[in-house]
Amino acid sequence: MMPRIIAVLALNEVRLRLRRLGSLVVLLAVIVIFWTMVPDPNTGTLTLISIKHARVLYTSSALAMASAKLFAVLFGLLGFYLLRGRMSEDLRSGVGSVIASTQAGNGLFLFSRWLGGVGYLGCLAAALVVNMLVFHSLRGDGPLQPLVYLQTYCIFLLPVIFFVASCAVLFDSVAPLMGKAGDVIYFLLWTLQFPLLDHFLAGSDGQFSSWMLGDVSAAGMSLAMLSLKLGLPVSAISKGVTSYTPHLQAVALPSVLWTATMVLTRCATAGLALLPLLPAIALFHRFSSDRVKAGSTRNWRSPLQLINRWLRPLVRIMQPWPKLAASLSGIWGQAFADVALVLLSSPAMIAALMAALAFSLIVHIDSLPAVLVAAVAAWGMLVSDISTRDFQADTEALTAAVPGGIVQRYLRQLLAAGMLGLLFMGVIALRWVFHDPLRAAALAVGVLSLSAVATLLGRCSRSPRCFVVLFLFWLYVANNVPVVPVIDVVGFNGVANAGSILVQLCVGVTAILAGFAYNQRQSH
Amino acid sequence: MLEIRNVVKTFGKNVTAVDGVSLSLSHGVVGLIGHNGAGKTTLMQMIATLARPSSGQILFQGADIVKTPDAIRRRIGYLPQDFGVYPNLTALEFMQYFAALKKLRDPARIRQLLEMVNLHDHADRPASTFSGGMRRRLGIAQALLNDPDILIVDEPTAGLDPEERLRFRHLLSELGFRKLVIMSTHIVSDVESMASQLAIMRNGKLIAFETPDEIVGRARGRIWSAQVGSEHYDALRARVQVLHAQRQGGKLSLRIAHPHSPCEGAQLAEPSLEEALMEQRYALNRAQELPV
Repeated sequence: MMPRIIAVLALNEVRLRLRRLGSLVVLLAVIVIFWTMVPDPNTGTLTLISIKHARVLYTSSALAMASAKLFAVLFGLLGFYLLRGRMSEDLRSGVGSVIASTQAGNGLFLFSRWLGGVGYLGCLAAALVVNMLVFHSLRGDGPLQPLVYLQTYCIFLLPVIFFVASCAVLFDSVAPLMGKAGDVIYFLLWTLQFPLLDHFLAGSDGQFSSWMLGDVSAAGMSLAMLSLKLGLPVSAISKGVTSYTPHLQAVALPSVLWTATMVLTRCATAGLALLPLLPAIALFHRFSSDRVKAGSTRNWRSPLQLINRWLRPLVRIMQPWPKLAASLSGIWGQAFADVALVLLSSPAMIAALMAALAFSLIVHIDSLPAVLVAAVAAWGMLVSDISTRDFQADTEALTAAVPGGIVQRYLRQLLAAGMLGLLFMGVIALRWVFHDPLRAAALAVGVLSLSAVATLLGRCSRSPRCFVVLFLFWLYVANNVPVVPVIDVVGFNGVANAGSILVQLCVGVTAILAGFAYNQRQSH
Repeated sequence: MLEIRNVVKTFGKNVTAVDGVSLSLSHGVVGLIGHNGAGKTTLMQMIATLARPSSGQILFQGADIVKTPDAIRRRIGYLPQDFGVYPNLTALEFMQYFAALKKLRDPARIRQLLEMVNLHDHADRPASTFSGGMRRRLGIAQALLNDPDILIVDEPTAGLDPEERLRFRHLLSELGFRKLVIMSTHIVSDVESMASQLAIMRNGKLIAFETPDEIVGRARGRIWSAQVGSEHYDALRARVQVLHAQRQGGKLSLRIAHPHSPCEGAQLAEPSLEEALMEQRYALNRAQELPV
């Protein structure tokens, strides 16, 4: 009886998520990013793995390991945001209170949610395996070995999927972690894990370390595994997008890279990945109105709300803005009103805007990229809400009924996102105009492109998460792979060129046209 | 079956949503009536184990539901006021989901309930494409999955068209023959035709727990009908509580709540339940010197 119930509940979770447009968008985006990022060694000097500056052949084992590592890192971030938010959905729709009134125990309910999340991410992983088989047949070296891919993906991805699903359940189950503060906390934890693991695994040089148990994405372990197999120090191996010396003899990795110890370690990691479920069960709010409904007595629980409350006096700075909006006619007035709404409802962002403006003006021009990274991060989180706020607040019908209707609402939200981009990053663009016009152009086009994508995804998926997921992933990748022009969207790496700016412009214009068509269809 | 003993629910230091409510309920339809913020939804949430009382006890068949919530969870069906559906599930899948949550494994029961609420022809349609009335019917179907002893429905007819509302009333009325149905509403005509008892709440307190006949009976002799010229209407309205005014030719036909004859030519009228409740509310306002 119990396994059947769990299976039904988990299956429904998988169905619900797979049928979302956002799932398809994220999957396609990941595949596109993968094909864009992974270099073709036949046409350049970049590759996925190099050993002592020699290229590693794209055999099944090499490609499987390199891609599985990339996807493991990616699942650790995107997977969380894809899974997250079901409880908020339950709360908003009222289904949560019905669930709470059933006899389903907290353990059963949360475990089924976890299992559903694992099943969903498993489906996405299966799609990525198929993607890799296609990639191998087009760019691979040596025979295609599907079993090697399957085995590698299971060993790499299962612990990550388990961990991410556990974290998503935990962050959805504990009231203070349910909102955007939880999103940011997880992002910080996720980015912190890499320097921490580097620190703890440094010096192990291929030998087993108990810290590997905590290496959920296997980033450190995969290096250790290669080092062990090849009898080389870890420092001799470069993974990720890396350069190689073409005249050196290419290296072929053995088909089997895993040792029994390492497989057992991954199994143990998978077991440890379930640990976040324990506090989730213990602290589960069970949709109780005492714990998860917004109320003045409970505002202290959300760190973001607390900061917003402290910074409430800053709202005074923005008070002339609505008057300015009212004095402007047509879509510009509406866009100004949207900007005012966004900033007035988030005093923390007014503080962030002031900081961005101040630093943009005073820092040396060489330090502007660092300011830009922070500014674009704050702006991205802010604009993710613009086109979804009406749906979340049940005011879609109201805002569609104002002059201009649904199509103009889309356009004004797009304009508002762009205007906020100018507020956060306009000073940097102006300073670059004189010193590095190409960078300034990249920044302007990047703001346009990101605004268009944020508005389009928000309107289509009716949730900010779809954009947030892609945005944070892009931000991470762009910071860690600063050599690929096409992902230097706003120019903070300084590698954007005319071609990459043109690509961004195409992305932006396509997103605007798609958004326009979608909203026009909605209005009919 | 259900006993509520001196239940209090406070939010923070200043807000008392439910203030010392005591009730003993068995079978039948109980209408929970009160103005916005009277504490109806909070009381229902406590019965449905969604919120814990700050003090007091709620006993189901003698067991304290705070200590053993599963005892009542097995035996209740709950339809909240804001009931939505998952955007990507069909009606059948939605029901299967809740059947699993309620630990049921009888596919025939799901079909039977969908037929009962007249949704069997739409079972494979995404529930998000349903009209408001269809969603409500799906909601009541899920609430009945476990054949509950207690059905708690919060404003079930809000936003329904007259035909849907009648169908809903009929359905709840039939259920009330065998079960305890607790229904909160602002629409008095909903409970007038089916409630065996009415619990009236005001500012978190239970101010009356009576049958509709008793409430109507108490208002007899206090509801008047009169016809006045429109030039006299404003002066009259300043003195008495006008429940209803309708223009008929050059005059206004009025229904008035007042302890004695409000004007010349006024005649005593048989009160409706709605008028009786309004009269009771006005009387309380007068007693507490609160503005209406």
